[in-house]
Amino acid sequence: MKKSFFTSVIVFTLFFSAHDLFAQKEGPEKTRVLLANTADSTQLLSYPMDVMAIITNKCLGCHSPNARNEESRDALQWIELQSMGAVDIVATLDEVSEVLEEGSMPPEKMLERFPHLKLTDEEVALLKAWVESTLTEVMGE
Amino acid sequence: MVRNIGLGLLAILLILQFVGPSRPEVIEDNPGDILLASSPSVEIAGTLRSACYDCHSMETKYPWYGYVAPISWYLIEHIEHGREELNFSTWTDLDKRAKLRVLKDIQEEVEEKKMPLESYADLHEEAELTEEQRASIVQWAKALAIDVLKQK
Repeated sequence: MKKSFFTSVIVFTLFFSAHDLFAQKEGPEKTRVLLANTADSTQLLSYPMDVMAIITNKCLGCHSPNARNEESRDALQWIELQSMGAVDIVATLDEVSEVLEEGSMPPEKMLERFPHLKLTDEEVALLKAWVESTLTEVMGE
Repeated sequence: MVRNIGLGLLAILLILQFVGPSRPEVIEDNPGDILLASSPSVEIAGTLRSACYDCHSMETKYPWYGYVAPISWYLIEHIEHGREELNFSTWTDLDKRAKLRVLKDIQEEVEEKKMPLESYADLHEEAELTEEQRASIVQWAKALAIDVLKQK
């Protein structure tokens, strides 16, 4: 209970700080929120608002520390990306990229019960573009 | 009666030898192999070869029962699947991100003792890894991942 409360607080804080950033700043950087540090502290992993909204609405239910399903918790927890080094971020995002390519997430079984969690084509495209640009950035290419 | 059943079974076993899947190809010379590309220590190379290479490389060493159907079918399925998941012989074909993912998977699988498969280690003593061997493989994979990340 305590843990889930803590996670919710983090998610909300991130969301609102992102919203503030969006409201205050002008220019191309305004939609980017800094969320995670890579091993190299000079490099920052960032989530645009729209990407963050998709992850929050459609992925975090199963891929966060308080998720009920152990398998999905073990497979990926978005929040862990914050403390990962560059090597692990690349490995994790490569898997995310594969899953998006296959269209295997959220899983069929989940969608049968919660059809609203299905990723739209537009959302898949946004996530893919973010994954690819982040990979390029983290790999320093 | 018993004799007839015995003969029947023998005939079926004989027929089985000529049907079913063929053994995955063995290639000894692999210029893109991970051991060539990364030159790990002799110990690591030895452990990888004896504990992983039968299923995760082109250098499979088939045991005698690998030539006897239907047991061989089981082996063939494992080798095909193993090579598909990870093939050390074609390491240099992978791009940077794929290499990093493979190295992370190796760390997890070896650390959590999911690999080598218990069924394999039961039949191959040299594939039964000690804690130290597991730790060195994890260490090696971690170090190699950092090198790979730095590569252009």
